[in-house]
Amino acid sequence: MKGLIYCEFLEMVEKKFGYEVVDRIIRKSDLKSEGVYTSVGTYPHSEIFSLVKSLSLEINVPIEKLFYTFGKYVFGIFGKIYKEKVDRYDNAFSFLNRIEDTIHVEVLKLYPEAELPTIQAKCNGTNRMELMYFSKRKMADFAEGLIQGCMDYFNEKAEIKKEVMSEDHDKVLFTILKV
Amino acid sequence: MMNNQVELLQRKFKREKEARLQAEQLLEKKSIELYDSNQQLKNLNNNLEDIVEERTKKLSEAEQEYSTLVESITDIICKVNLQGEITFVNQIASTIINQDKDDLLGKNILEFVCDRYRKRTFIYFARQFLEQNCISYLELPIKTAKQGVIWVRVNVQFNEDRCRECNLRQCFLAGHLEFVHSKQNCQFKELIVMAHNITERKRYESEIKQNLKRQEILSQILVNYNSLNDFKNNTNEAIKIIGEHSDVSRVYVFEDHSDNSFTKNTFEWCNKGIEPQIKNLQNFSYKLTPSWKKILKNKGIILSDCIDDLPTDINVILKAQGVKSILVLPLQYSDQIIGFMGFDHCTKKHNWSKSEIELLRTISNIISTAYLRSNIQNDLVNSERENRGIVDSIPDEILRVSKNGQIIDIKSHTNNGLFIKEYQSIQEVFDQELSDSFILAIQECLTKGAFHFNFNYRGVEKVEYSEARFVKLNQTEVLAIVRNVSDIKEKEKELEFAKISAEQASKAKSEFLANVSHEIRTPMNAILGFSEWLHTNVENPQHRNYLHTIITSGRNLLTLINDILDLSKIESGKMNIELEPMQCRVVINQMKQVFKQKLEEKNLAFNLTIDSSVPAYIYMDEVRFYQILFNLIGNAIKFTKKGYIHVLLSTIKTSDSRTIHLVLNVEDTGIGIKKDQQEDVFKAFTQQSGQSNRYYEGTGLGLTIVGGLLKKLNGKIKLKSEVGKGSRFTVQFNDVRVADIEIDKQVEEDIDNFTLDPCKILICDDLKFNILVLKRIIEFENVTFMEAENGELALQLLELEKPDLIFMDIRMPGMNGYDATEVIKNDERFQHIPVIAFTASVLKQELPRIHALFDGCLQKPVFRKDVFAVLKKHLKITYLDQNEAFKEQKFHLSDECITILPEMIESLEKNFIPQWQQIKNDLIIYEIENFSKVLSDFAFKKSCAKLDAYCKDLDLALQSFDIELIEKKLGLFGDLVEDLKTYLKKDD
Repeated sequence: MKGLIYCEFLEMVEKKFGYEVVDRIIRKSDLKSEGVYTSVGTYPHSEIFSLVKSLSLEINVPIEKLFYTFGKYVFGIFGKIYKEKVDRYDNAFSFLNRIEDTIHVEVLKLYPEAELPTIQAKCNGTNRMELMYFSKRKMADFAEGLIQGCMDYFNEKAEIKKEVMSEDHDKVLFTILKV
Repeated sequence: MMNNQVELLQRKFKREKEARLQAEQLLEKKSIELYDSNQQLKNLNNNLEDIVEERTKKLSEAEQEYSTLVESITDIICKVNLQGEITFVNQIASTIINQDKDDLLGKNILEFVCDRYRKRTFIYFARQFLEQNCISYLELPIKTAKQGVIWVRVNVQFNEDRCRECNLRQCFLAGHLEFVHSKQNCQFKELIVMAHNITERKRYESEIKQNLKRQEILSQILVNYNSLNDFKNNTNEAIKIIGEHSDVSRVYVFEDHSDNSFTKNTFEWCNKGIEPQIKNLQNFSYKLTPSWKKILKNKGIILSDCIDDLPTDINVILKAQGVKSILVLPLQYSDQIIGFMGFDHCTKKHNWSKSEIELLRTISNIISTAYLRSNIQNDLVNSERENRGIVDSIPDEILRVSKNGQIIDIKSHTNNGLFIKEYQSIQEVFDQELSDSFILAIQECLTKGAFHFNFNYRGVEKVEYSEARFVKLNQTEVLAIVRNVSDIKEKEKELEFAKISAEQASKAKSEFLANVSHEIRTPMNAILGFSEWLHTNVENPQHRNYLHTIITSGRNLLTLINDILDLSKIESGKMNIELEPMQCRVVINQMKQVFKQKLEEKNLAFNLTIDSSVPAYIYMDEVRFYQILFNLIGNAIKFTKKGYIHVLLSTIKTSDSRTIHLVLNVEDTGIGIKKDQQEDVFKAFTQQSGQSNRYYEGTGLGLTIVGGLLKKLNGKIKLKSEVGKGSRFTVQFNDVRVADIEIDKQVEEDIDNFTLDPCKILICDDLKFNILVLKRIIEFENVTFMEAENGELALQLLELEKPDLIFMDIRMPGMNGYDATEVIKNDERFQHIPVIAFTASVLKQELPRIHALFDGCLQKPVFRKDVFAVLKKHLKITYLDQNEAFKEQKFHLSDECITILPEMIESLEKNFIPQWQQIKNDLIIYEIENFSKVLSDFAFKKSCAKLDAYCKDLDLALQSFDIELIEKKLGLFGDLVEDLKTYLKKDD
């Protein structure tokens, strides 16, 4: 997992709870990297689960909620970094619709070693969209946060319904209804 | 607390420091990676430059090679832009078109295509292009220097198949239409056009095409002629085909007449607008153009591109027909020209090419052959029709049979024949035995080539006879011609039977005739003998006249009897021929005298010619020769009213110098004989129809006897006659022997210059007048006659007196001549006495008996000559010298006579000599008789013993019908007169 995600996560934790919490969850989490992350590096994805788990225990907030919150936060960061690219799209649906064939393709150009989920998008009219999520990482809550972040970025309001389609949570259907 | 804060910060810094380090390491690692890849790129770039340089070099070399190739190739190569303008052109194009390369650039390529092909070429390539064919070919002619044309095979490559920037269809078409939509930005830059010179190939192709066409024509004509049926249509078709092909004005065929001096236009074909000439040339004489045939014969062709170079005689005629160029070839058979075939150009002069001449020559040969074949075919068809007619109409059956008796074909269509179509084999027709014989005969024929086989078989009602003739056809087949000859066999039998009966009848008739004629001749002897004697001795003129009639009638009757007897002798084969030396001239000359009176009565000219080649003496039966002459000339006179009779005697040499063919021609201007009756004139008792017996006397036996005699004398008679104009009989005596002897004339002539010594002669005849006639002839002073009426009386007389000579009649009542003579010859006392048979009938079968028994034979009526010959032979005689005889008689002239001698001689010379001179050569008995009578009267009146004696001699000769003696005696008259003159001189 890209160093950028770790950096942003730890920065978000530092902003909300102070560096003490950051230091605590690093030390509790028994990380191979020992909590040393650089945005250009690449680190095992298990470390994010360890960190989120540690934080959850620290602040007594469920892991799912933390991933959701982090996804919403990260999209805000992405929107700032890659503003030029995100602004090509007029609305959230048109952006979401192109994740698989445009966004992920460009991500792979920059980071050839990146392990990306597969997203199948299907528009049902202008106000409803179905997104099918496949990933071994089982980061559907993070994905839901990202979708919410995207809606917020485009200033759109929508209800996001999450359905787990498989036992081990690697296939999840998101149904987005604009409000 | 403070410590916790510090520791926390320390951990944070430491982590940040490590992260920074980590980031630096990562960056450094990335930088190195980048550097490496940059280095790699640099190297790559260097390599690329080398390769480009190398490639450029190679490309330049290839371009050089390509350029050399393009410039040196013999095909035209050029590039053309969409407007059709030439943008590149190679050297050969410049050479062929004879313009500088630079001048060619920018010109429209279609300019060089011949006008007629320009549009077609463009449309063709446009279509190819639009159908997106990358490469396309077309053959077309292009213009070259000096208005020449060569044929090229053009190959256009369309490099780009489309232009993105403009409507290519419009672009391309614009090239021709000079309507350009897009010039600058059209990506379709150029076409590559290659043109390969195929002029040579085109020429060959054209020649091949021409040749094929000629072959086609020839084979078409030949195929037409293969059907033999219609020579006329085929020939018309042939000259049409060749006329249309060669585009001449006129094609014609002339066939020569059989005499080669005329020719006839039999076929003609005319091109459009050309006047036919055939009607004017139906009977064209070669005389008008003598050179024509000469040139055809010598050169085998009349050929002219411009007729002015032909001889004037031909030129004139051709000009009249508007001919400008001409080609004429002979129609030939072997070396003979049978006509000709010609080709005219009338609209313009034409140069005849070699191949054209050869084609026309071949066609004229084909027509020659076809013409001959047609003639032969016609002849064959006619001949086949005739033969078929013959085969169908004859009763013969004709079939083809194999050697084992297989019937292959039956050719004839006879009804009721032995062979019918259903039969396969001989065995089906005949029984085993006959078919075996038949097959044997076939095999015999196969060996010998031809064979004849007679056979018979059991027919429906009777035994049928057939004859089969075989002709070999090939090694295994024969043609059998089978004819039923049953009827012929039947008729043959009948004929054989009829022949035997006829021969028997004929023999009986001959016997009868011989007997009857003897019975008639015997009384005739008396009638004629005494009539003649009386004629001399009767004074009364009327009686003399009666007697003359009796004599004439008697002689005619005798002639008739002789004719009948001769004929019966000829028919019964009893005619004897005695060849002795004969004087032809004398015998022929006699004719003049014999017929003198009749010729004068009818006022006919009589011309007697004896060719110098006719020998003096020939071996010939004089009596029969005389008879032939007499009959032919007699007939000629009899049937000629006016005009002439020509007799010509000539000879034809034979391989043997001792023999000749003697040819006698008797020609008259008489009534003539119809063609269909010319055969009949040689038949007995036939005078030609319309020949009135009342008008033309005669028995009708003359020519039959002549014919019969000629068979005996190895002679032939031919007759040429035309009714109303005359007849000519030509008799040829073959292989007549020439008698090369001098006959002692003395003996012949002086038959009576002798006197008999005293002797006795016995004459035995039942008819008194026969005895008297014989006595009158002999009448020598010293002779004593004894007479007997039959054999018995003769024998009785012999007992009393022995004669020196006996004349014995054969047929007498009581003892006949044979019996009497046999008695005499068996009696020693008499057997030395010669006995002469004295008979009216001498039949051949009796001759041996007569010769065996008798010492000689005399036939009634007797002639003095024959009697004297007998006397001379059997009695003692004394020869007299003639002059002495006269001298002796001279003294008997009385004084009275001598006194009037001068007056007498004058009268003789004046009255008798002219008449004598007239008659002495003609020897006409009646005239001589008159002469003799008048002279005798004269002698009596003048009491001239010498003259009287002469008259008696002459009279005696006349009475014995002895022509030779008469001639001789008559001839002496001149001498007599001269002799009398000697008496005058003596007196003086």
